[in-house]
Amino acid sequence: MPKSATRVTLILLSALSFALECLFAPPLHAEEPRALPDYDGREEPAATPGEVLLWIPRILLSPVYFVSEFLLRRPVGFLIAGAERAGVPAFLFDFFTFGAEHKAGVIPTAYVDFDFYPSVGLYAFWDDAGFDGHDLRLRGAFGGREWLSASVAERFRFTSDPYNRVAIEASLERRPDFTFFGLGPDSRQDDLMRYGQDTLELRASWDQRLWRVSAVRFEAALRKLRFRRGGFDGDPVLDEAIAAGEVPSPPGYAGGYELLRSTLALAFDSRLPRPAPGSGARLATEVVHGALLGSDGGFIRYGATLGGFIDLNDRARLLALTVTARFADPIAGAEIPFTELITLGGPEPMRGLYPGRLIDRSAVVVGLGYRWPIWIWLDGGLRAEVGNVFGEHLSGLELSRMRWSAALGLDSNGSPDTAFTLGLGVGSETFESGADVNSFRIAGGATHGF
Amino acid sequence: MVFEAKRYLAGWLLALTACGASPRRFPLADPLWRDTDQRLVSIECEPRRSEKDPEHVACAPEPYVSPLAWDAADNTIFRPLTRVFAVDPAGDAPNVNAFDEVPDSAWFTNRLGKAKPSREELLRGACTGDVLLDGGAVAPGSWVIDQGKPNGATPGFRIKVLGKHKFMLKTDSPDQPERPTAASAIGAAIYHAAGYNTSCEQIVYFDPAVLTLAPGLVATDNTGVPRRFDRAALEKVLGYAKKRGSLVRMQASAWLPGYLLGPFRYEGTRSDDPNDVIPHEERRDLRGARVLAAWLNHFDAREQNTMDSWIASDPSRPDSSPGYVRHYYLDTSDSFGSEWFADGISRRLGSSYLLDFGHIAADFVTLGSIERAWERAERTPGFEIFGYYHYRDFDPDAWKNEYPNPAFSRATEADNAWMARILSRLDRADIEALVSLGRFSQPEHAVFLSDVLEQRLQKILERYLLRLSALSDPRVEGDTLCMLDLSRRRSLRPAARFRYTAYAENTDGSHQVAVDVRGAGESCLSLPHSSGGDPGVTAAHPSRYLVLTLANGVSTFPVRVHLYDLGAHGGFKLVGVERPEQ
Repeated sequence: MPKSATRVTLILLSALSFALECLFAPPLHAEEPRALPDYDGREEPAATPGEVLLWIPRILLSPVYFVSEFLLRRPVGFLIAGAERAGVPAFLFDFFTFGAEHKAGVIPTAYVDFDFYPSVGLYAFWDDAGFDGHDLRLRGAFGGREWLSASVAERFRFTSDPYNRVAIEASLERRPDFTFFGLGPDSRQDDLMRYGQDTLELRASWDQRLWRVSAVRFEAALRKLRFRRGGFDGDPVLDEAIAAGEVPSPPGYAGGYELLRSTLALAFDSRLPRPAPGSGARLATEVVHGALLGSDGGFIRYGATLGGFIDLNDRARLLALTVTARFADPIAGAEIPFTELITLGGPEPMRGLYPGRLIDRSAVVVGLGYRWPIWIWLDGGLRAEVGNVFGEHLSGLELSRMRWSAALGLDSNGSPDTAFTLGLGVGSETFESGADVNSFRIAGGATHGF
Repeated sequence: MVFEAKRYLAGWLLALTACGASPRRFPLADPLWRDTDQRLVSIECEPRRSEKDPEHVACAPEPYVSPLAWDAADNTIFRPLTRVFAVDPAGDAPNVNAFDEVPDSAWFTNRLGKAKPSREELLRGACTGDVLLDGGAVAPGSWVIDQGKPNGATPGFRIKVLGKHKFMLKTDSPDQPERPTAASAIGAAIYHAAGYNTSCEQIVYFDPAVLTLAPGLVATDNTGVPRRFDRAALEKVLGYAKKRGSLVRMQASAWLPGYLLGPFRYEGTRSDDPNDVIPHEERRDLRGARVLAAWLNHFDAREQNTMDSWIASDPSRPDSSPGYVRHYYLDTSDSFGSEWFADGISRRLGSSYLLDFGHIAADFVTLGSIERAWERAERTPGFEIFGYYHYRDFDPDAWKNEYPNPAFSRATEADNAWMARILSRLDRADIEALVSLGRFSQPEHAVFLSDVLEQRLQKILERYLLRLSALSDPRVEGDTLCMLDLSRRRSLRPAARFRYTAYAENTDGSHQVAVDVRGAGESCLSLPHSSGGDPGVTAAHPSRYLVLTLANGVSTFPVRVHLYDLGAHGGFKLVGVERPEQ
């Protein structure tokens, strides 16, 4: 038996032994408890009507009290206290973090997005690995035989601001539960189909803070995607729909693709980092060039988000109005793979919609958001958005073809490496089709990061 | 049938109400000023082996090892949940005598509240003459380090001083130099003055040459990893210490007497202490300590900062029987603005629990429309060592420690007012003297801290002395009853606002009595003898009972003083004081 397993067994046994000892050991005292003195010398007061009436809820809630006190609190207390006395927390701390200053460690993660496979995983970190400013990150997640995800990152911080860094990252992901609803602004939630996707990506990036929280990012990435038959919970399968001739094969779906992608992202932001008052303006622009390997073609993707922020009390109550426009254009007549087109829903704008819900050549979204602090590391968030995807350069854009989305949730406000989110969202069909609300999302957990 | 049942229920409730309203007389007796929990008791002996003595037998309660994580989790999540379902709102504390005071006990000794200690006694606190250290007058090598404390918020080591006690020496934190050590020394003296048992805490400046390091020391750090405590480790600890010339500044905590049993819990009783029969969360002395903790912002007032000690009748055998358990408050080093690693935590300490579900839910539901005190908190320029400690947004009622404390959570208006009455005895000069124990290098730091303490105390008194009556210290001289109005003595309202009215109620009925308002907060009145008193009846006969209701025009409720009229020659016997809330 490995040493660590032996140690765990011994610790668990001693925790159990302590718990049993606490439960069954008689107290040591040999004398009767002292009689309580009559402190004020007066007779006990008669019960007031209020005190008598309290017996009604007391009796009604007694089963719940019994369960919470004797089946939950005390057993849990015995176990945790016993584990502590047996050194389990120190063991776990040593087990999950390493080094004299505990700059390395492993953290369990979990993420649940209803209507998708849940996942559990591990996030490992090692700060100042080998030398100061050199950080390593490793993340692995598992959501079933067909759901695997892993990534590794090596970062070099070159100033005292941890934002300024150069990073090399590699990630791979295999999932069977991606959703596809068709292309264009009129796709419907009812058209949901599942497909599987394997992604391998290598990235090199440079992030540099500019004025205030303005920043620039350069990234070069090599991306390889393969698609395959997927499925989730009996939902229609894209492969079957294609075979039956019900839908055309989405661009790039048949054989997958390899891509060399370069990105330049520039964000101008007049605000100072928190806790400074958050009023200001932000213009975030991004240009992505994708060269499809094995062909002469490619695409260029570009867009911008303009936002105005008002901190209602200069204490992080942020009201935000944002306008986002995104475009994707082919180069040399190439066909842009559907996964490289403009997408809305999920982590992208229109968060009340499913990930990958809307796909086309361009998109516009107007959003009104409100964010407020609710705890040391948590903010509340409320967001309402109107928008949709459209054809080339917003062709077909009409107000009646827009749809709306709303989301309410909690988000961590600390490091993105250990981000936590919990939220629910709703989304609608287009206004011209009646704006039926038929998309509901509930998601929560911690997996995000690099 | 239903109507009959309703009538029966209504009659029953009315009868209960009437019973509740009937006067409850105090017996003709002196109040209980000394509890019975220091009686010597014997504990069954059992083998308690140690490395030094494998055959050792102990006849004392078994030491309790407080579970750090469970204590936090239980008091934050599990206990509050079960208490909701128990439907058990806090009632009156049981250990309150006829004068609305707490008798002396193994927990508490009336000091400030009964007779104000001299300035010297106040400053000495728990430090008796033989545990006072003079770092400047010791021979090199005479302090022998026999134990290390390599990390934690305040690293340090233990020394043995020839002919004296053992002391744990601790440094300051580098981010807030002088604050932790000063908070320990000042906090211990204040807790002691208020009436609690504390360790002797003092600040010493000494030349490191007085230290001798015992060879082969190994210390276990916070994570349970054993490390050598050698010269390098010692130098590292001394590196954290504030310097004054060649002298280093450290806080010396004298080892407590007796056989240490680990912390006391703020809930329930010790099952192996026959003297411990009042659930701790019901004790007024523990409940009222909430106000004291709020004053100092001693947010770390949890069980890990307490200690029980078995005081054996035979001090040469500390774990022998008979003996009794004495209960101590320890470590106030978090007071006066301790800061944590995250600013978001530091600014909340004292205003919100670390994980405060009530605040989180309220802030989420109201979309942040409530602006919280911690959002306005600011460090005072020039006084950054005190973090966010200030009086600006201090609200004594809203004060919270880092996670719920069962006794604090059950503190009633009467418990809080009791502690406020005790603290009101400290005046500005006392506070300045107590702050001098901090031995601050910069005099302006002492002035700042005195100011903040004075202003926070003023807010506490404003809150708790103006609802329940602050009339205290009743005494009868002949036919005259005098009381001290603590709210007038502290000038909580302009003098003209204090208008005293008194009503005496005896067998003659109820009639007004004139009040003679004197200086220094004192008010006196002549007690009326009953006209129809039968000299033949016993002294304790109900016909001799007199209840005097005295209001000061400032507090919401009056004080009721209970006496027996023992006739023209016998005078009056004071038997009880009530501060009703209705």
